[in-house]
Parts: sequence; C-alpha cells; structure tokens
Amino acid sequence: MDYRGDIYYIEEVLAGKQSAFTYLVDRHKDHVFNLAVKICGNREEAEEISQDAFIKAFRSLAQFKMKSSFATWLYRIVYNTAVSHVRGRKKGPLLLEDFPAAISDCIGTNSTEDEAEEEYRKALVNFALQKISEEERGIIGLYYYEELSTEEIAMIVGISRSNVKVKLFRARQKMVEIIENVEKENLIYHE
Amino acid sequence: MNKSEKFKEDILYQFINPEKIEKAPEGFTENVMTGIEIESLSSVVTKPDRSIINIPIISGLIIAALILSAVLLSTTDKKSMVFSFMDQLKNVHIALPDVNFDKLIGFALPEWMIYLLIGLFMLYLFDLALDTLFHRERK
Repeated sequence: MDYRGDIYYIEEVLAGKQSAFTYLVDRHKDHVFNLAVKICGNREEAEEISQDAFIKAFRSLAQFKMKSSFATWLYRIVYNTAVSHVRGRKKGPLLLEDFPAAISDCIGTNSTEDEAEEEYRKALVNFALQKISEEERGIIGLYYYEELSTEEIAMIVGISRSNVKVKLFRARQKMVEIIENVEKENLIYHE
Repeated sequence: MNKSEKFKEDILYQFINPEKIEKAPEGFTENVMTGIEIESLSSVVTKPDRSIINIPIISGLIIAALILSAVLLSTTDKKSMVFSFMDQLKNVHIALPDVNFDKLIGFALPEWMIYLLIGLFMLYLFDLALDTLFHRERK
C-alpha cells in the first residue's frame, strides 16, 4: 500500500496520469459514502451521489487551490451534490409510527444482545436524521461522524462558523427530541 | 475537548458511534474510474464544432445586409449613393459568350436553358463554398 499524501496523487493526475486518482478514491471513499448516506438516508442513492461527487472532483481537480485539505474540498462537493439531490426528489416526511416499535424489528436473527443494541441505536439515529433538514443532516454527519471542527464545517457548507454552531445546536435539539419521543412511544408499546 | 468530555456534554454521543461509519460498497473505486473514463471519452467525442458557431454569425450578417439594402433602396432620394451606384451598374453590359448550342449538340435548346445551367453552376459553387467553410474541421 502506498502512503504518499493526497497532494502527490493530485499532481500526478494533473500531469495526465489518470490512474493516480484511484488512490484518492480508495482513501476517501468510505468517508464520502458515509456523509452521502447521512444526508440522503439510503445506500443506493448514496452510492450514486458519491460516484457523482468523485467524478465532479476529478473534472475540477485543476481548480483545487490547496488552500484547504483535499478531504475538506471533497466533502464540499459531496455535501452540495447530496443536498441538491435530496432537494430534487419528492418524498413525504417520516412519521413517528414509521419507526420499528421493538428492537427485534431492527436486527438480524444472528445478532448478539450488544449487536442488537447497537443496531437499534443506529436505526434510531438514522430515523431522527431523516426527520431533520438535509443541511442539518450534512452538518450532523460532518460533526459527529467525520469529527470535523465547526471551522472546517463552515468551509464545507459555505456559511459562517457561528452559523454552523447555531445550526448544529438546533439540529441536535431536534434529534434528541425525536429520539426521546420514539423511546417514550416504545416504552408505552412494551408496557 | 477530548471524546469523553464530548460524550458527557453531548447526549447525541450516547447514540452515535463515529467509529462505525457506513463503508462504500464493493467495486466502488472501479465504478468511479469507469465513470471517469467514459466521461473523458465522451468529452472528446462531444468537442464542440467551432464551425457551427459561425452559422449564426454568417446568417446574422446576411440578414443585416438585406435589411440595410432594403432600407437604402427604399429611400426616395434619387441622388443617394446607392442609386448612383445602381445607375453605374446599368451601364455595365454583361454579355454572355455567343455560343451556338444548337450546332454543338445537334438539337435546339430552349432559350432559358443557358440561364438555368449558369444558375445551377452558381448554386454548385455556393454549396461548395459553404461545405468547405462548415465541414473543414470534420475533415
């Protein structure tokens, strides 16, 4: 495995060696895909968005001025592609009743108790994510999953750092509220 | 702020595990690279034909020339430059070579046939000129 920095491969691609882009895709694909999943909510669309984002990145690689890291620049492309993709589709909002009532509904048959708990939490967070706006999902994804700073998120999303903090606070509040509501409903259901 | 501090402060960290991210599906990199190759090929094929850009310019110039000539010719001022030029043109005698086609081909042709042939020849030249102009890059 080659551990040279992104800049090396970017320069190779810009010099005409198209295959060098493979290293960049391999290195960043999971984070790009994860962000796309968080914003659009399903793996099929996320795959399409991620591929589209990498192709866009390849096409505009010459415009990358190296003022930020390649990952930040790439996240910006993914964020914009995913948000505009979600805006373009017509999908009704999820209802509280849409969330599986029991943990057993969220998991496979061969899971252990810990795995079941983990699956339940994942389903719960994904459900809450789908109830907030696509911009908020992107910010949550970048902050909690990609563990980026609010300054980096501001660069990606194209808003001020204080605005990121405000949006993050609101999104967090909404998600916590949704999660608490679901858990409350589930308690009632099990009683 | 380290992770444990973040965890205590932020309730969402009780539900979110940043280490468990969604992994890209198998063959993702290959699909992206195939997409890029297709994109590169199609950009070569769909390279814009520069001569096509000339079409609106040329037609625009022709229309402008026609409008201009219509405006200038419709003027009632008989002493205008256009009319004096037209007068000069009337004085130029364009005579076709006096060729006896009846003798050449053995039978009589209608009188207008020579004008038709000349017209066709002029159209052929015009077509040839346009073809050279607009199909130059494709050749």
